[in-house]
Amino acid sequence: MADGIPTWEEVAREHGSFLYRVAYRLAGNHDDAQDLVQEALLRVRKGLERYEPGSLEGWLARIVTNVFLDDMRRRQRRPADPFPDDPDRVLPESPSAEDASTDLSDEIQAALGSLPSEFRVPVVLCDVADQSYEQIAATLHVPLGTVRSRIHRGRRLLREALTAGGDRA
Amino acid sequence: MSTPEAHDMDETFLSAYLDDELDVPTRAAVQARIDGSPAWEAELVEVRAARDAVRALPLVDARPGFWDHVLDGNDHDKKGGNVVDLGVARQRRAWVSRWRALAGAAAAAVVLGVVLVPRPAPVDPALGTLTQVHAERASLGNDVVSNLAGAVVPAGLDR
Repeated sequence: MADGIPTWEEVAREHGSFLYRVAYRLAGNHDDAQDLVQEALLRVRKGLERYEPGSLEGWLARIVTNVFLDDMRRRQRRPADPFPDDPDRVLPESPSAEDASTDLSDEIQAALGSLPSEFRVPVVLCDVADQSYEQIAATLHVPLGTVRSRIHRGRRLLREALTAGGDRA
Repeated sequence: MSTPEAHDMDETFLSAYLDDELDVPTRAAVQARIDGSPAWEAELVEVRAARDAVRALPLVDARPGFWDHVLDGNDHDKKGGNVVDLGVARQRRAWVSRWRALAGAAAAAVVLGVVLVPRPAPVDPALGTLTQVHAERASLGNDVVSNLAGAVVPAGLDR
């Protein structure tokens, strides 16, 4: 690390798991998460020279979120591609093989994946990436009040989805 | 976050309250509202449950080999290891899926072909059995030609 600026390899080695965690919770499946991380790392490589030492994870969260949102827009232009807002896409492939705690995690992930991206993204940034409302507002280019409202509505929708899922079971 | 008037506060402040994203006066105002309103208290319980559920999700990491693949070759590739373009990766997966679907369809066609191809009808009467019977009778010393005559009509050999 020179002048507080990490190398690409250091970012991948030391913060790759963080990137992956955020990507997985946004995308809802491993294939898309891996794609998002790889694309994010490409952008990290290109942007490292401009990186100003500070919250590295905040910077990475912003990059992976932008990759995710760009990908959402690309998929919207090509509706033939599977869409991450489709709840079926995030359901586990073989729930019967999972243990009870994994089942619950899958259920929560499925509920998260069912949220429209405008709510899912701030919730993931807040509760998975541990970003402040101010950081989320900067990432999404929206006012602080909008972040507050989207996080709250996202959690409300998530709760409803979990309750509905519990009622069906 | 600037302090809102009490009448401007809506329930969306509850998440900010949970996340400790309110200044001291606003936090106090929200706390007072929670204490005086069962609806706000109930809403707080609901959003807290959702928040805790997401925060309690296990740490996930990539499938085995992913990081090795990404990091291998970093020294050789100045673009950053083996990372690939998002569109290219997805396109590759789409091709693999299509090829798998095609291979599956081809296999199904072969199976159907085997099942549906017409087979020759079994011979009636069973010539093997008749021949065996004839051989046994002949071996007992009877007239071979006379015994064979019995097999001629059922086997349709008299034409």
